[in-house]
Amino acid sequence: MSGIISEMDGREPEPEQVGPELVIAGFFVAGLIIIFALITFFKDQITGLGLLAVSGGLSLNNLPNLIPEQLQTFITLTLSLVVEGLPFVILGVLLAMLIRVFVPASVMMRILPKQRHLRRVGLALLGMAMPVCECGNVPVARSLISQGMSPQDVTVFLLAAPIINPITFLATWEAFGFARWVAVTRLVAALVIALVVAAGLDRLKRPEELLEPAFVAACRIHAHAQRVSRWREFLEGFQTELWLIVRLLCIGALIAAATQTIVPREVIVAIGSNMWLSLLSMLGLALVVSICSGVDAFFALSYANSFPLGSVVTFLIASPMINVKSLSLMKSTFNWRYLGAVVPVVAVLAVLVGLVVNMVVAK
Amino acid sequence: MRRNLLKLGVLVAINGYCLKLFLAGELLNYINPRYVTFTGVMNLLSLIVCIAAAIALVGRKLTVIEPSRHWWAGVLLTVPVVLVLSVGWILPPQPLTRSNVASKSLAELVANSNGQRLSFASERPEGDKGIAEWISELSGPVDEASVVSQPVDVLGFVHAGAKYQPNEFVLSRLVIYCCAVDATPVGLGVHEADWRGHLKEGSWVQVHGSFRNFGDAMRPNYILVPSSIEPLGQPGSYLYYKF
Repeated sequence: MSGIISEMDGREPEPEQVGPELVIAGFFVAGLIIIFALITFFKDQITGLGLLAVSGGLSLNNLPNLIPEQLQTFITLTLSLVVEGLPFVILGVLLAMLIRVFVPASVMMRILPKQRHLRRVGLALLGMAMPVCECGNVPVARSLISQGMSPQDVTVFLLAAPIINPITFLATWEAFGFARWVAVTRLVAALVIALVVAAGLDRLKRPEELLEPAFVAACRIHAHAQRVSRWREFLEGFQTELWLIVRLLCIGALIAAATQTIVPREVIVAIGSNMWLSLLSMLGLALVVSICSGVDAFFALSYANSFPLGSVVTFLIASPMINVKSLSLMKSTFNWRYLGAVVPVVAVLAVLVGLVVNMVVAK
Repeated sequence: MRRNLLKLGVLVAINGYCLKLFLAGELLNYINPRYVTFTGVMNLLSLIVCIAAAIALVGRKLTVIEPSRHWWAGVLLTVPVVLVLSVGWILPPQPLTRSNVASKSLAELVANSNGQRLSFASERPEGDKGIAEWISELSGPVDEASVVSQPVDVLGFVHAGAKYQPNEFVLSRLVIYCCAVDATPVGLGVHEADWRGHLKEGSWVQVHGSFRNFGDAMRPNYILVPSSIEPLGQPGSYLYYKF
């Protein structure tokens, strides 16, 4: 990986060949599409156009009655995950491209501390500067690796940043107003777990082999490609990254929605009264339910009545780190070996934290 | 170039779908209102950048080089996005259904549950109490005489609930914290003997009646005792949102 990184350093931008006129043209075409969408939306009101009234769109309104309930639920859950995750992905890709194109790799390396552990804490704290959920962090992480960060360092960012961000912390603080220490525990545990996982990855002889070959190849292509204008590089990178991440987002959404529809939640939560089993069931729920880290505290609150608080803490720690949707997105950058190493460690540590909380609270 | 244009076409179609939901006010079927503007703005930005990239591609000012991978891997990765996109564009928004509610039956929040004041967004005029307002009122300290003396008129769907007696059901609404995936029933307990005989789980009903304290002064448990239960259709805006 270091070879790739060194090749990417020291590139000099060429004079711009394509400028903001493309963005202006984009605005124009986007305007046309919005007008088209408005016409579609107000087609009922456009009384003079009888043809529109008998168009296929209206008759489709009767379709839900013909679709089985389970399938309706599956469709709604899938679309809601995609619709909810997409803007964060777009924001993440935009940020990633801005970093990749406009912030030289040397600047990023200069800003962060040289000492390994301090650098990792710094990367985790980047979550405070980039308050996006786990979906948006993946493209940023890819950008950081392509700029020369090691997979271990970026792992700390990926795992901790969704929790160490002001929105997530304040939401947890507000939701657990009767036990505010939950918010602090969540934050500290996330940082510690991320550092432990990274330290574990340090022990591998060649951590760069944890990267997805297609991603490494893409880094090489970009490193060897002739430097074009920054606008062109931005457009190329945005298209490539968004295409990749959107496809994985859809796969993650389909898997998460299918799991939620097929496996009744009673199966997961019926064992909430047992301290040990409740930890495992909340961990299972964290894997299955792929909701945004910014609001998962409110969701978890609804389980605080039937589950020990430590088990809820396990959910709060594990969910942003290793939920199905996140893992699907992380697969864009890391291989199965990486996921196979990281997921069990995070799961065990999250359960351990929950267990300690349960024992302390029980006393 | 054709392949890259196709990819951009799919991305534009996805952004266009989200913008259509945004303009039609249909995003609320899927996400909490707090994300609506953000979703609209980000999809518009993405649409603009994708169209700009397409124009640059057609004008041969853009060269997108990607690492080669097996053709079948590309197809496998692309099928889900096309599937999701087709369903989204073709079908109108699907309501959350009884099966969805049933699968979440153990996660409900009900009035009296944990002593925390609960509040949800509601579109009712001030003074007109629906399920959200009653939950908010009953989840804090209340004057029993005042609660039991007020007439109650609330609309929700029938839900068996997790901790209720056989002669009780929960008159529920679904509350969304983030998106439809976390929709959780919230509701008021209703005392109705043999309700399963004439009410179907998941059906929408308007309940008139008043509260009675089935607990004691220290641990109150307010259950709605109906004077009438009237079956109704699902209202247009049937979801609550937590802010």
